[in-house]
Amino acid sequence: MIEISSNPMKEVEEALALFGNDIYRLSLMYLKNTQDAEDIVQDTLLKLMQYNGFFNNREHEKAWLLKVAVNLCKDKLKSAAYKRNVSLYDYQDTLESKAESFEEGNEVLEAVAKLPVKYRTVIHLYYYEGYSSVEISEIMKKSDSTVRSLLRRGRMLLQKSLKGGEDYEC
Amino acid sequence: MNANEQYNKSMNDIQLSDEARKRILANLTNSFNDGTYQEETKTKKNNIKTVVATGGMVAAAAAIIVGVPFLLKDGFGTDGTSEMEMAADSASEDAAPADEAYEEESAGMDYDSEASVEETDEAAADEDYGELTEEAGEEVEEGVAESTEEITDDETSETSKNLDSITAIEQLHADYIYEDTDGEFVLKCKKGKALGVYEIPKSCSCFVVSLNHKAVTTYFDASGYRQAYWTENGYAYSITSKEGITKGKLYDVIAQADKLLKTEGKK
Repeated sequence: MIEISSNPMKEVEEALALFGNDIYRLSLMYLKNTQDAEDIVQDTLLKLMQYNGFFNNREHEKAWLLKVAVNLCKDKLKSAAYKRNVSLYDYQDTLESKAESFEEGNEVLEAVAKLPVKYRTVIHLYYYEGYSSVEISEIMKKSDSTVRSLLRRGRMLLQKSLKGGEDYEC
Repeated sequence: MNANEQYNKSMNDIQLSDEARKRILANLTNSFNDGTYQEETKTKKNNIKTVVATGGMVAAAAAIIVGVPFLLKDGFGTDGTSEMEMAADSASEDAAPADEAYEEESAGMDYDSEASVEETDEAAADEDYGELTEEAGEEVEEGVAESTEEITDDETSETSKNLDSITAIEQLHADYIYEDTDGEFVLKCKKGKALGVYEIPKSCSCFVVSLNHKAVTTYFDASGYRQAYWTENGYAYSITSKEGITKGKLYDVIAQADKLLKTEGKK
């Protein structure tokens, strides 16, 4: 049993060490921007610091953190301030530019990054984090059948993109 | 190497930098030590009250102006529904708790443009999704896009306006405390230490971008205009503009500010 309120700072430090990369990768897949993804990591851990409940184990804690991160990413995309922003693609690191810097495997990451957000997030959680469709449905607050549809369609779009060079930028 | 393995390998290479970890931890530690992390809930509640009160007044004024008294009698603003929706709107702007609490606060919110259209082409419950790019055998519509992710580029023509409208470039000494005219924005500068995002009230949206190896933080002032500051050699530099600074042209604005500070011998 993990109780955050007993020692919030210690738990936050541990969570950053254990799950910081997972939150960062998911946020990066969602927002496609390294600075925004780092902000989400920080805000997610802030939510953990404020959390008064407890977790059964580390996996439970990780799922909770990813769920909060997804909610924060949604809020960020929805916020008026974010929509007002002009792209800083000329100057800042984006997921695509990161993908281009990899020597091998970059084309798959790049193709996933170009999928619409609803597909790439689900694909990331399923194929990278190894969550089942039921678990993803809890994290994403979608029905299980929707998650499975998104997985299937995302995979088809990905296949088209990799084979035919289609661009599904959203 | 198949697509799965390629993707996983690429993803494994993406990690939070040590610098980012340190910065995040420092910000959270600051927030914990000064207790501001506990104040967020209170602030949020106050914001909701303000929004509800303002919304109520606007609604009442609108109803009076257009001369539709029945609105007040039977509709908007009297049954609590609209107030609750506004409260949910406000809460979800800056907060994202998990589990039940989040669902309550987000009631009525529709984050996803496709959420209201449940996808019905359900796959078999025990379907194995196999490899990432395995043949799926079904055509789907192309060009799927989400309105929530559209990024416009209509601010680029405002560059010169931004540069001309800079009203203040301040060099703030270490340990100096700066407050804006409304007293809402407080900036604490400590020598040799990067400024923490959580030293800015949550009512200001902030983010950090790296430009020319500077961690430039921008925030939105009370009028909703973007302003910026950064730290260098133990000093904090702040750029404020009446008409705001467009994100896309921050680089130019900061370069201009650098030049100006050097000209004035402040750097």
